[in-house]
Amino acid sequence: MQENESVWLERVRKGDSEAFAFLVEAYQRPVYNLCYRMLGEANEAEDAAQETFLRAYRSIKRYDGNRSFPTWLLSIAAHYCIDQLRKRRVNTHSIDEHDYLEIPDDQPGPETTMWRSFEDELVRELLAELHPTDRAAVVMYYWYDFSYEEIGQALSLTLSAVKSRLHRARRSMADEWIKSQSQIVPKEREYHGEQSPAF
Amino acid sequence: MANNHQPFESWIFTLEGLSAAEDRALQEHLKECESCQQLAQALQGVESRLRAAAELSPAPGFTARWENRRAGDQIWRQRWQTYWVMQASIGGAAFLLLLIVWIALPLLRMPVPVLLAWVYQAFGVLSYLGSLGEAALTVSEALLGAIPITLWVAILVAMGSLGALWLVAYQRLTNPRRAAL
Repeated sequence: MQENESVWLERVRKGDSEAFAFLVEAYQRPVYNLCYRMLGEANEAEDAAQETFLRAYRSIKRYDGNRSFPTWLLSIAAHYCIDQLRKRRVNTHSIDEHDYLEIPDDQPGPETTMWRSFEDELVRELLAELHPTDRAAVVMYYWYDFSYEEIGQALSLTLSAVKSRLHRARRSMADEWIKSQSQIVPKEREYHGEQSPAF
Repeated sequence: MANNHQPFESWIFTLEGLSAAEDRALQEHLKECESCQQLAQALQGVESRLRAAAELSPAPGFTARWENRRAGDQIWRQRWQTYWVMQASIGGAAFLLLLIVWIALPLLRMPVPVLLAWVYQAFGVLSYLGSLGEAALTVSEALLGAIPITLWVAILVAMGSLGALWLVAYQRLTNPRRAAL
């Protein structure tokens, strides 16, 4: 993968715009996932992921070959999503107004869809309470196993700022978890049915 | 002990890792303190939820959609550049027109004195250029006498090489492949 990546990057640098499509194909999933976790809505995530690749394509000459390409891409995506969330706040457009039950990818059966939607909603509720930069740090930490240094590099933060943001985010999510427990149990009961012995 | 939650709350959420003594103290505290216990369990729940959440994929055809978007973006940028070049050209033309009107207006009002002033200025410039040419001629005559013929040949060869180098560099830089970057 890394070999192919450097070959494609070299081709893009030489002016072969088609080669960038291979990079889009290879990294669409992590970029889309980050955008989705940040924005919480499929259409916005699609748009943000597309914009991320477009920005990366435009500024490929500024990409430092010594840096990891996926980290660079995710950094662009995170900054773009943070800007979008700030704009959304300015426009007083709440994240709660979005259709959370939309499933963006493959089409599983109705029960799986329902359960995945429920799981997805829980994750989104946890992330939605966080400050945009904290949210990006959490996504990078839990989904991509980024080190503190990588998160700092991607989000232009110092090492201590990354640690304190993750600490604060974990605390905030735990508080949110406790708060939502009373709402989650009836929802699970609703999804599994009143007859289920587990509930 | 149970009412004093610090530093235990902070230890629950730390990612730094605790020393054996700290960990022991935290475990002891968790046995007694219900609120810290609740926090620790909540964090466990959060982490398991986050780690279990799948990496989502975009709808099929993402790359094709991106290529369309890139093509659209390229067209838009070209149009935008054309628009600005046109705006600049129109602005420049308007400025030149104003300048011409500003210069030509006195000529239309009083043609003879203005023309005479122009002729006087042209004579002044020509005589200045003539004196410059004379000075250059004197300097070059002095140089011709002072520099040996072999040095002249060397200077000519060096200038020719520099010219060739410039030509090669110009061709490389204006190469369509490079220009497309």
